[in-house]
Amino acid sequence: MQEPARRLRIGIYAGEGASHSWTWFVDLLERFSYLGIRFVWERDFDRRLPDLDVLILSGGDTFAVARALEPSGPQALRVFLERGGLYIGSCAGAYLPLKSSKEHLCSFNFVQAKINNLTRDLPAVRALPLKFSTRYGCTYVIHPVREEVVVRMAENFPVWGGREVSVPLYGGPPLQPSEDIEPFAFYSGFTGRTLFLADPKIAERVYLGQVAACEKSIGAGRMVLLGPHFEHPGFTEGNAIVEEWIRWHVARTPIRRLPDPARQEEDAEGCLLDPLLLESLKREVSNMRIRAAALARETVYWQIGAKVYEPEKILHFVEAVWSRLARLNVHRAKTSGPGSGEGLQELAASCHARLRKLSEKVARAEKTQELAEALFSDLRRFTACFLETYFRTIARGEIPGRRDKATAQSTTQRKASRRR
Amino acid sequence: MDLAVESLKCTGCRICEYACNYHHDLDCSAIGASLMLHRVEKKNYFGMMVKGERNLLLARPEGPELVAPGAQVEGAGASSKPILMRAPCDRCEGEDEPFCVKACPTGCLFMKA
Amino acid sequence: MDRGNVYMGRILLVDLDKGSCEEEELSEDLIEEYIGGAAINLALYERFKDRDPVVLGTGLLTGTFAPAGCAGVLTGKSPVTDSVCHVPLLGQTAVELKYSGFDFVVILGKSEKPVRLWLHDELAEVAGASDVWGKDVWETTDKLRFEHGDDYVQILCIGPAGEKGSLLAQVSESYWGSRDIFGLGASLGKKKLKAIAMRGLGNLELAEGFFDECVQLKNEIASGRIRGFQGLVPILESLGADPGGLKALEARVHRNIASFNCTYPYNSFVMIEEDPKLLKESQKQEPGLLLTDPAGVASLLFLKEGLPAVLRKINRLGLEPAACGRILAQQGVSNVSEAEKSLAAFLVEGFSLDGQGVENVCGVAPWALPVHTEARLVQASCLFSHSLPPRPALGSFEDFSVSQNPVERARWWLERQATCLILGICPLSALLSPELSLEKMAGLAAKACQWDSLTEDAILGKARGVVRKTAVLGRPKGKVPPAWQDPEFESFSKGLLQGG
Repeated sequence: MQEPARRLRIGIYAGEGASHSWTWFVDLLERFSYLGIRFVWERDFDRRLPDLDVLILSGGDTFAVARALEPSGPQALRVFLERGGLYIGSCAGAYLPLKSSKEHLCSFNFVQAKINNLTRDLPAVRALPLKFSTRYGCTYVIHPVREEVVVRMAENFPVWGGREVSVPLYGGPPLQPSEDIEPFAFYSGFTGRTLFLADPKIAERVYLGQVAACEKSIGAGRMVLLGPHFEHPGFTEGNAIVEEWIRWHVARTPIRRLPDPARQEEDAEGCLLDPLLLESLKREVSNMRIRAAALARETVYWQIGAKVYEPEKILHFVEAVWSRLARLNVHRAKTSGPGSGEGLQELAASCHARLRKLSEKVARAEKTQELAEALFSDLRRFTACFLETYFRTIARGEIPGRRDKATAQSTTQRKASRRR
Repeated sequence: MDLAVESLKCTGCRICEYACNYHHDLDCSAIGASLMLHRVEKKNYFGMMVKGERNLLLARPEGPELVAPGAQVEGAGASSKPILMRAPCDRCEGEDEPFCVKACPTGCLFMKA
Repeated sequence: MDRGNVYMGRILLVDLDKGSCEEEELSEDLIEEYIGGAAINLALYERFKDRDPVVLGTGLLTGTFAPAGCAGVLTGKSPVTDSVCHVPLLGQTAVELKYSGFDFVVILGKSEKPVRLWLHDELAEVAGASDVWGKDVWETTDKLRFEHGDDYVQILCIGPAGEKGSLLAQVSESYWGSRDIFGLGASLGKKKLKAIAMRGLGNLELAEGFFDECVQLKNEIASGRIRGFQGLVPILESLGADPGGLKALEARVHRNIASFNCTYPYNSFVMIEEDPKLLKESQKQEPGLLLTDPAGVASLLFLKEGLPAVLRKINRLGLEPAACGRILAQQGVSNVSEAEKSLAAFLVEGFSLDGQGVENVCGVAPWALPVHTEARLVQASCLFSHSLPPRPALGSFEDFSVSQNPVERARWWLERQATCLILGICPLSALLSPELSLEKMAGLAAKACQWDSLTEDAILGKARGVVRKTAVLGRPKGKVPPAWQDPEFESFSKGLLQGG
């Protein structure tokens, strides 16, 4: 019998404004056997929230997300929270609910805490000038450090209370203590792997002692805001803290909101992949993978929204699919059930066609901006759709044995333990 | 100390890619390496690309070039994150010598202050 | 750790009669019994011999950190000699084959229509090849790399020579030809298999400590016999090539290229229509070519400055350079346009050296540089390709501690080829570096997969088995040149069959 926590329906936002770090949450949740994973888009946000227990919003472009979720998203989110939902926002997802008067952001304003990295006068930048600051009205949001930082967990945080852990920071907020939030982690230091973009004294002033992670109760639910990316696959302690937070939420949430056993049956409906479909998906994704890996050797970049995309990002999405597809045994998959993944085939083919066009244009040194934008949008869609089908399939416990030679530890875990 | 490339010594054998991946993942493979061989085979034009934390080193035969990914794109966002596929070169922290330097048959890869 | 960790664990059976593929597990038992490479190739050849098989195989150490761990092997019945032969696959070809997910590929039967094979990420597809049939080797390689979107796709293909069934046809590894001197290009042509494209982003797990041992051996090799040398020219020079021809060649050498993980870069790129000193990327699309074939180059040296352009044409047509060199020399060809005219005539079914009244050994071009008895013995056996020197290069037999007796030397060469092609170690590198001893190779093989009982003797036993079995499968038809008839010949041949 699965623990209640593991029957949670977890929605991950993969829509407009999301970059790629949401896939890190997918890896984390899968590793901890949370298989009730669904994906949420801007256009079905309102419709899907009522069926979710957890909503996760990771990194990306905060403004773009806010704009995409209007006009009804903020209210849907409030209802979700009041009914006992858990919101986990990291990086951009942590900025989104903060009080702001700016257009689009002002519709959220769930949390009254202030960020501590706002300034009118830009200090001298020492490295990565384009990653150092973003305009925010007539002020700037600055990021004096990137990469690894140290946070100290509050004493009363379960299991990890009082401990210091390393987590990566890529532009997420340091929050000033406030009565509106319950802080559970504070920025406490830097390491040899911390990258300083400005004078370390500025970094100390902006971060040390400020809130790195906190929660706020809203109705029967809560918001958890994470400045650093606790979900990054290279930081196993951060991942464990996220998982602990989910358990803790379930333990504290009123019983009426726990997953209804009847819903488990509904979930079990799922969908399985037809072996022929699986074979053809594998071919398509492998071909994409090869093409994407080759493209990663080209020095071409695209600006999409406020972010820079490199060709390697294409491979990142393709690998998120491939690493799981490779596990599905083509020959022993059962025939399709309701809602099987024919749509996946079309999505895969469309991604592949766009990717092919892109790589051919890059080879001819032609402009590829529009094509890249369309491709990344397609890729997000395909990856999320595949992952949803995948999780429905394995939640039924019907994934046959792996064909490959991988050891019990996932590659990500090996990488993480190797790096730490 | 940083990884340097004496490009004209390179013979394109590609073992450095596998050695680097081995350091990161304990696997013999090339997909996760911090360095890649760029090669235009019919023209015999080839050189290593080393992904650093802050920039990309293109060790061209005619002379090295440093590219800052995204630097040429105006208004690039402050919160761009590194991609996990290929970790940037960490100079094989914790090892006595970088694996690529160890494995290279010609000494084209070396550490430089 | 099991033996299988250095393999992907798959044998692919390609049935061209049906146009379909089937996979089998590469079992632990098979590996225990045969180790890999040429030995498993042979076992597969024998199993399917009624279906005219051509077997591609990888060795135990192919694609690992083992120095010179680049080799694969092509095994099949030569249409020239009518006997079974083994051709090394070098460059990046065999590495890509293994990482594409397949350790062994058996091509069975033949197709009605032109087809090609695409091996990628443990998937295999037989597709139509009407888009590339009729194209030359370079066009085919370009088209397939473009089709799959990656210049690291490795291609094994035939050109017009193979399509037309010329016995001078050569299977080519991407643009630059191969070690095929046995007309396997014509075998693939008969099967209407135009190309095999391979690419994979797979991975192997290796035992702890293996990497460091490999690095140590690599350092010994780098500071050993080969120190101070690079490229094809010193190899040919050490084998007695004409200094005039070599000088003309050396003047055009751009940079030297190593096969996967090879310490010595034995391939030399020569510029034809470009400055050899150019370091920037050439503006010309096809400014030169990579010389990968010692025998071919040796046989064409008489062309002096004309060599690269003629060899480029030969590569493009998918012809065997050493054989072409013999005929062109006999015809007194002295320039590129005369050569091109001649070469066109080689593209007919059944065209052979024998038919041209040119010196040959069982129909195959003999090594073009001065040789002694042992080199003739190995060539006459036609078991392994002598496009690689039939004796050590840069150094001598003495460097390898081999006796003076020609029969012993010939045996040593054959066993070294077999050993390398079982383990997946480059047999050309093995003829340059005495440091790459059997003891060291065995040590690495055992270490890679923690196979303690894989000793020197065990490996040598398998190598001798490959030599004997291949010889037993059939003597090459045709004759050796009269000048070669030595008393040693008969006894040597008999000795091969007894495998002692």
